[in-house]
Formats: sequence, C-alpha cells, structure tokens
Amino acid sequence: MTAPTGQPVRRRPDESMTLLVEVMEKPLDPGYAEEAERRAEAARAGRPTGRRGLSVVLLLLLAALLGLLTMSAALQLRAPQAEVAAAREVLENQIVDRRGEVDTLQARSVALSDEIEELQHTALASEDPGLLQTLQRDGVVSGSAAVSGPGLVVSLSDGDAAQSESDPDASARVRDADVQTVVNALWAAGAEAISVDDQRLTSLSAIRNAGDAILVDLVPLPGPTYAIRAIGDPDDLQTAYARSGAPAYLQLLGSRYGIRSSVTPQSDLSLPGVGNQTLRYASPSGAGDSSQPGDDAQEAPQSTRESTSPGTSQGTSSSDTEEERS
Amino acid sequence: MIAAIGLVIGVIAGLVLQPTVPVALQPYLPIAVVAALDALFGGLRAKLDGLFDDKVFLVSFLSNVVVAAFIVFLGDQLGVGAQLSTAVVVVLGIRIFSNAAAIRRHLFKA
Repeated sequence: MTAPTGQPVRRRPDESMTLLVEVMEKPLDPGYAEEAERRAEAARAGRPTGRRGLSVVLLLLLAALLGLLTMSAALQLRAPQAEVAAAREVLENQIVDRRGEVDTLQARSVALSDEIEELQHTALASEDPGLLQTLQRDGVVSGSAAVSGPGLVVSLSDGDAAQSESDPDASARVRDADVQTVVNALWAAGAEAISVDDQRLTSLSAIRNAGDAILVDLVPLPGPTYAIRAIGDPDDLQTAYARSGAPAYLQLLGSRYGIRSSVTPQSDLSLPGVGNQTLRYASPSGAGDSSQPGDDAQEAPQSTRESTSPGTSQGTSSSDTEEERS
Repeated sequence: MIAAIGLVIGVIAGLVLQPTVPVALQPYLPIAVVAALDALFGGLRAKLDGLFDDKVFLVSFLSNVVVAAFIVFLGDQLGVGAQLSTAVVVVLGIRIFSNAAAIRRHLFKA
C-alpha cells in the first residue's frame, strides 16, 4: 500500500463494518461532489458553466415526471382501498337485505301459525273438544302458543366496564352461562313457561354465545339488559328461586364484574309463542309399533316434554364459557 | 432550481389529475416513496452544502426509485421480497436520518 513506511497504519476500530460506516458517514451521493468539482474546473478553465436550452427542458420534464410519479404513488397509498370498501358495502347491503327477508318470513310464519291455530280451533271446537284442549295444553307446554299469567322477571345487565368506549371489558358482559343458570334455576323452581328477551324457550331452545352476543334459538339478543320472564306462582317461584344457587351466583357476578341483576314479581306477564316447530327426525314411538322398545329414551312423546324442558337449555358449553371468563 | 420547479409542477399535476397507478406496480409504491424521500433529503443537504446540481439530483432520484423498486421486484421473484424490502428501508432510512441530521446542523447550527 502507499502508507508511509515506519509509521504503523492506524486502523479504524470499526473497519469491519464498512457498509454501515459508509451509509452513516457519507449519506450524500458522491455525484454531487464530483459535479461540483467539474464545475469548479470548468470555471477555472474559463468555460461557461450554465446549461443550454435543451438540457434545461429535459431536466424540467424529468423533474415534473418524478414529481408526478411520487405524488400519484403517495395518493395511491393514502387512498382507502376502493375494492375493500366496495366489498364491505356489498356485504353490508346483503346483511340488511337478508335481515329484512328473515323478518318478513318470521312475520309470515307467525301469521300462518296463528291461522292454523284458528282453523284447528274452529274445526275441533265442534268435532272433538277434548282433543282441542289437549292441543292447547301441549301448545303451552311446548312453547308454540303464546301464554300469559303471573310470574317473575329476572333481569341481568352488563357491567359498566363492558360499556366503556375506550376499553370495553368483555368479562363484564352477561354471558350465555349466566342466562342459563338463571333459566335453569327458574325451571327448577317450577316455572311453566320462560322467555328470554321475548324469545320463548321451547324444548328445542339453546342459549349460547356467538362472539359477544347471546343467541337464543339463533336470534341474537340486543342487550345490554336481558329480561328473563317466567310464568308461575310468583311467591312459590320466588321462594324456590331464592333457595337455588342462582342468586348467590348473580351476587358473585355483581361483586366481581359489576353485572347488575334484579328479581321482580309481576301479576301479569305475557310470553309470545314461537309457532309450530317442525321435527324432521323425531316421530312418536310406541304408537302401534312396539318393535323399537329402546326408542322411548330418545324420543320423548309430546306429553312428557314438560319434564324434559329444564334440561334442554343446559346442553351448551357452560363450562367452556366459565373458563373463558376466569 | 429547475428540478424544484419541475417537481412542484409534477406534484400539482398529480394532485389535479389524480392518476391511477397500475395494479402490477402497487407493491413497489411504498419503497419507491421511501427512495424518493431519500433523494429529496439528499438534494436538500447538497443544496445547503452548496453542492447541489439539478442533473445529479434528478438522476439520483430516478435511479433510487427504480433500483429500490427493482430490488423489491427481484426479492418477490426469489421469495425474499419482505426481507429485501426491510433491507432497502433500513439502508434508506439510515441515509435519510443522517441527511436530516446534516440539514439540522446546517439550519440550527446545533
């Protein structure tokens, strides 16, 4: 090398990191220095240093092009993705449309089952009053007919922490397991009909969580307050309910998560019916066919449904949701 | 001076015309913008150093953008697009930082 002999070459301690040193210490394009040198030399030699017309125009065009390019890139990056927004809008419209469809169909279903009931009533009233009575009783028990009577209203409200705008606390929400606990306690206390937020519970009902919403029979409940109405003798219901584990459980929810609950007896409650329910696979067993003795356990006949009702709303994963909360 | 005027004209034209970038080029836009920023800071520093030259500035601008986009394109083809993008952003980022620091020293003497 050309280093003067006798004098040890001072090596930089960070010599092994030439790339980083280069980037850190010479961030300026070396082209600028070279060009400045060339200009200085031209000035010394007495040549003109300015640019001529054509190159000025070319540079101007190039600069404008680059400006346009950068600007359009920046605009493109800042703009919301049009396709995403459009797809979202389509989905939103579909949701609204389908929801409207469901509403009309539900209304139609209710109207039709009313009509069926009315026709049954008129047809059977004259021909077979006994059968009509049985039908009506079954309708009340199975939840297909609207009922009214005295009873108890248990209401649960999400805790304040669940409503806070900035940091909603999911554990302060009422969950399916909480509603299930109350519903089961009410069945056990002798309730004859129960509805959760105007969704009548039947032998086919399920109460479960889907995301943050509680679904009863696939219908999401709006919250944040859930009213569970039970028909039965108010005093007996209240006493039996108070003896069950539910009040202590609700108290725990209240103290730990701020979930509010109240129990109020009412002299007149009216619960909606869900209309006729279609069973696709279950058929009455033992009716003239005794070859399947084992079926009785699975296929409970209509008249024994009352006793099985309390269990049906329990068949969901209450233990899972409990774990989630803790 | 010519470069600055041209850039301003281009930016205004971009704002007015709102051109759309072809979809195929869109993955390279962020890197291209970072490269453009690097060239801009380099130019500003050169100006303050008294070394500024329109031609050098514009050529470095163009080559920065093209090379950065090309590296990312190459990375995409080789399956290391994300890593190469990171590399480009790191290098350009350091350069932008040091140029910005030099500009700051020029302007505030601190």
